Amino acid sequence: MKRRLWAVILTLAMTLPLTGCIDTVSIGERLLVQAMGIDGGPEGFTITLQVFTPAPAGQQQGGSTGTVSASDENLAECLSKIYRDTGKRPFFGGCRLVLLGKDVYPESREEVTGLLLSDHELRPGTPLLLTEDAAALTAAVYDGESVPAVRLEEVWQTACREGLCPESTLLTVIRSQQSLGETSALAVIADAGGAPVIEGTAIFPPDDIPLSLTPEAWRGAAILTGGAEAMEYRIPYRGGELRVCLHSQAVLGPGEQDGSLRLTVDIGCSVLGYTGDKLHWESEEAAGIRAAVERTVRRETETAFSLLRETGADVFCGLETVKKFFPDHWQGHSREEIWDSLTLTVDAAVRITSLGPGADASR
Amino acid sequence: MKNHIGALPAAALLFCCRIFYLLTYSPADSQSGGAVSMLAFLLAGTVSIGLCALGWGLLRRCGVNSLPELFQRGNRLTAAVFEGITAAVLFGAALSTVMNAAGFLTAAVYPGAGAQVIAAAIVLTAAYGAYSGAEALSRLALPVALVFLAGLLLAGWGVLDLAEAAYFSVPEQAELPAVGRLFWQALVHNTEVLLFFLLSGKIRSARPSIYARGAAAAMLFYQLTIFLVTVTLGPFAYVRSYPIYSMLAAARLSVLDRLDAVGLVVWLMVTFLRCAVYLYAITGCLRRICPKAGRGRSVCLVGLVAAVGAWYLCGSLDRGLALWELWSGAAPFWLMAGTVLTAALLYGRRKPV
Repeated sequence: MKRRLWAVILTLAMTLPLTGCIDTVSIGERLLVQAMGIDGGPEGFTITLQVFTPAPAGQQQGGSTGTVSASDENLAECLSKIYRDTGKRPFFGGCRLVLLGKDVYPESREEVTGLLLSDHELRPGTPLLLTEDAAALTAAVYDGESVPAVRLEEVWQTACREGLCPESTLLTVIRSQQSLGETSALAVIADAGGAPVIEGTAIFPPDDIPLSLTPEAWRGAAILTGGAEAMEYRIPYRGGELRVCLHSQAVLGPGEQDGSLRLTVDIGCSVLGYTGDKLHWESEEAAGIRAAVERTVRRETETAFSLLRETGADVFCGLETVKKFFPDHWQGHSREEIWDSLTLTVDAAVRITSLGPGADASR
Repeated sequence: MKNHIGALPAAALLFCCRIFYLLTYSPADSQSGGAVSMLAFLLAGTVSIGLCALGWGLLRRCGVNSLPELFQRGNRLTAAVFEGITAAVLFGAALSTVMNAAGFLTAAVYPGAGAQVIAAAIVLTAAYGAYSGAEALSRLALPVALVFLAGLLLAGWGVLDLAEAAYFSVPEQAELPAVGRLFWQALVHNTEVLLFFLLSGKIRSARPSIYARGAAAAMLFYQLTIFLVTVTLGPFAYVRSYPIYSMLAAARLSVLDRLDAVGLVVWLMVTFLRCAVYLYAITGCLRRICPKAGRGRSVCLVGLVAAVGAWYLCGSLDRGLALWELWSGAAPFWLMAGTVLTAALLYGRRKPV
């Protein structure tokens, strides 16, 4: 009897912790944010949220997407206003991307990144993209797309894979801001005739005079920052034009001299087509194609490196690499001297991995 | 041969206890991260193995196989004092485990949730684990350790494309004081050596190499994880409270999007194991002080007291910080070192009473 009494008392005591759910917020009380846009304006900031509302249970259709927005002097107050107006708490766990207006970044960089970092639900891999009017793009609707943010995210991901824009996520942007180079690079997205497109890249060096690169111009920098998966090139070759798809992986290391860098690039090349005479698949032809691709990659990378060095934009961890491999050189010179005297040697090794359907072969 | 723990499960249990703080590791500043932390933890782990060997040699010279055996050599009063001091140190370790867990869960995963309720729930669940016994806990530790290893490998694979090798560099001379500071903190904060000496009487063929295996595996984990955090997050690690959790959230695998959720589940099991084994050890001290107390009632009492303590400490950040600053300093380390040495000097050559 006594044992049962103790068992009952202990069981009751152990049910007390079950009230841990007391502060939970049910899904019906949450705004499921798919995209967030932050603009500057006369009132300070405007936050626009693209939110997804699931269909009620039992309904066939999958839900609907809408937007909510609020303006205030500070960002936290904007979110509070949204909460007060809608009665629902924004949930950023499924947020696909954050759009920053050009009037907000880099001017209010600290406040914006502070807000994004303070929210534990916003994942480090959330894309940060720059645009002219973040509210408009957040509210844009695309045919056949129930969640427009998916389209925006896909456009960005495709451009990243093709080396046309940087992989600007919360993680990579903050990481590069806090690095020795103090430079961030963000992809720029715009709405062009009803479809989102990547316009280019905006790079913000320490002096905050931004540098704009077209998607094609970023490719060299994409190779420099580690590589991309599916870069398409059209290369003049033997009187015709060779169309190739390159998958590159690059490693930045020390050069031969103090304060110099060497970029070792491994390139997988898939030949997609050729507008000239048929390609003869012998070792001489392969060597010729390899040489043409190497020249192109080296030229683009060196051009990008020169441009970035002139503008002080260390998007490729150059200063970190010098500090790591040449500590004495680092100690003996100022950052500006090291940067201004930085040189890069590109070692590109091309492997022809496959012939695409357009690459006719003849023997 | 009741409650005899195998060597491998025992090493796995010690490993799980050592890696508890891994998920919530956070470099204090840019001077204390990366290679500095790696070197400090490597040194601390190595020295702790040496301390374990030293302590074991001392116990063997006294003709005993475990610390409780040494304490019981004296009269009831002195044994009670020594056991009481040990229990107090273990209580601090158990409460700091629970507070760390509750703090992380409410800061990073479930903001707005009640830390007190979470802490009390962890303690009461761990008390049940303590009731199950050390052998059951050590058997659970082995698969948990394997899952942790698999999780780390997955995480590494998922963050490889984010890695920037330039972020890792060997510590410079100017960073050596930071290495020393972290090394000392890690060394004195290590209560697993004490745990080993308390459980050694229940471990089959107990010897320091069992502790060494667990500690070495934990050191390897720390090295790999901190290295991954350093090369993937870089300076981002210093703006996050829990960078390893951020790294898991940033990992991208084609089949698994929420690696942080997997990491969280495994870490909760590690939390349960660590808290449970410490409560088990505290119960052991209590039962040696009061031999007539039954196992069930002792565990209940220890669990309730620990739950009340956790509730109190988690109620206010100041209280929690006060305990953390006390028990993360060197006081428990010196207290236990003094206790063990005193007992060895008093009872070293005396036959059991």
